[in-house]
Amino acid sequence: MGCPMAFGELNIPSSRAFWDDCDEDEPVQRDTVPKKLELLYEPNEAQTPLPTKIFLLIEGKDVSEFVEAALLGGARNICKLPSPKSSLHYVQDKKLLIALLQEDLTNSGELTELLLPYAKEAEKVITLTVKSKIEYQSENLKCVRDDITFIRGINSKSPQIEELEPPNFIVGVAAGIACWRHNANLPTSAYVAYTDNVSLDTLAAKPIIKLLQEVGIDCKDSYKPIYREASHLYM
Amino acid sequence: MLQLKVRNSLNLEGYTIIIPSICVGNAAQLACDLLIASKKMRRVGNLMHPALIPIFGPSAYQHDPQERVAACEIYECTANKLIVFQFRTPLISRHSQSLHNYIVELVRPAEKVVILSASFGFEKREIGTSPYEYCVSNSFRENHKTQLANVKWMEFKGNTVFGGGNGLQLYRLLEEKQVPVMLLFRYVLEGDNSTDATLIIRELNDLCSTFLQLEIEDKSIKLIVPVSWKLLFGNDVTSLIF
Repeated sequence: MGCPMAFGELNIPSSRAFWDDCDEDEPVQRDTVPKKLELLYEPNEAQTPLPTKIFLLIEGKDVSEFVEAALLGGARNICKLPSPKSSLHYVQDKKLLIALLQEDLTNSGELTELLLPYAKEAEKVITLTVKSKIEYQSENLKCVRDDITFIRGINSKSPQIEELEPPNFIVGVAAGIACWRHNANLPTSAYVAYTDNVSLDTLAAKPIIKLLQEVGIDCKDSYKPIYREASHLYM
Repeated sequence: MLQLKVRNSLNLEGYTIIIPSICVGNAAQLACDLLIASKKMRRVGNLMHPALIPIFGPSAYQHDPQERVAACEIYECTANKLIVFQFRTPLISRHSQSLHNYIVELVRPAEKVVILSASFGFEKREIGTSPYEYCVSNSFRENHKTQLANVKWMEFKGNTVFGGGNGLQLYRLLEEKQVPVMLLFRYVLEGDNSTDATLIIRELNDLCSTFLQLEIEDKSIKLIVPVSWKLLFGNDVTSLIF
């Protein structure tokens, strides 16, 4: 449904049935098989799940720099995921598998299926989703108004972390893996960090680092983002 | 992928299946929410598929606080032999055909399937008639001749239910596979569609009182609003902006 071409022409809103740009009155393409996504393994890396004590999935719009700086110090790259900024890493001595996820939501269902063998193999799964604070819904917003970042959990094992309350939820690959593990009665904890700054700076990352250390993940004590000249002005 | 609780397979023989389409105002999904909450239906499993954006969160219903929300949930009422699907995400169109095929194979053994949907109110051409329209497969018509003769709904004759989401696609696939199926939709306008959801449930209850036995109190249906309907239109406006 395009823009109205003439005065008075109806502009019917696009469908809410599909997430991607598709209208429900479009003909169904019956014979086309969509191209399947694949994990792009590094040379010499086994395509079978590795022995894993903790499988940590971190997902967010702009988390790659934080994850690389704070968590991936001693990790080796296992494979790339379809999005260029998503990848799977393994810390051999800790038997820690880390999935860095900066994915398009349209791929998240398919990608969840690709990562399920790793989730099945892991003793414990911890997911962390970084979301904008504006997405948090509550009748008592006053209590979080001044926090730069605050954490909520689903099946959280930590008494300091409050449980996420309806109607909030998490979405994406981390949500898919946590959901599968929960329904399979396997240990899993999902956390969500609501923050003022989704690309995370020193202050915004602090509660996240504290949480990761609390749940037994080897993580740097502080995070300093790499300064980049974002302005195109010159003096 | 079907993930079932307790059991290994879903035996749908003799069951009625209700499936919401992801339509205008999410009216059908809201109706299913009301149905599940009011009948305190038990979660029997959930469905994972590349067409569904995964979600995970606290329980959507107060009667089952230990449950967690998923992209597609399946609920059962054994007493009424009723299964209700609930979708919580829009579909990824390139995978939707595969999801529909999967659902059709899953519900094939069922006695009947009812797809709930809605259409844009401005698409209604005949003013003063019922706000509902329906279409049924031949086998459904054969089995429910008397009930259908008494309904005040109009029979849908068009090719597209505008705003109806994936409902008609799924209906056609089920019809093709000879599954007794009915598509029932209401003309609605985008906004607060919780009232539409209530009206859809009442209408369905009138047709199918044998299986949709909601708790009766003062001769009216006692509907329970699920806890997930809290803040349906987001947070309160902060006083700081004034």
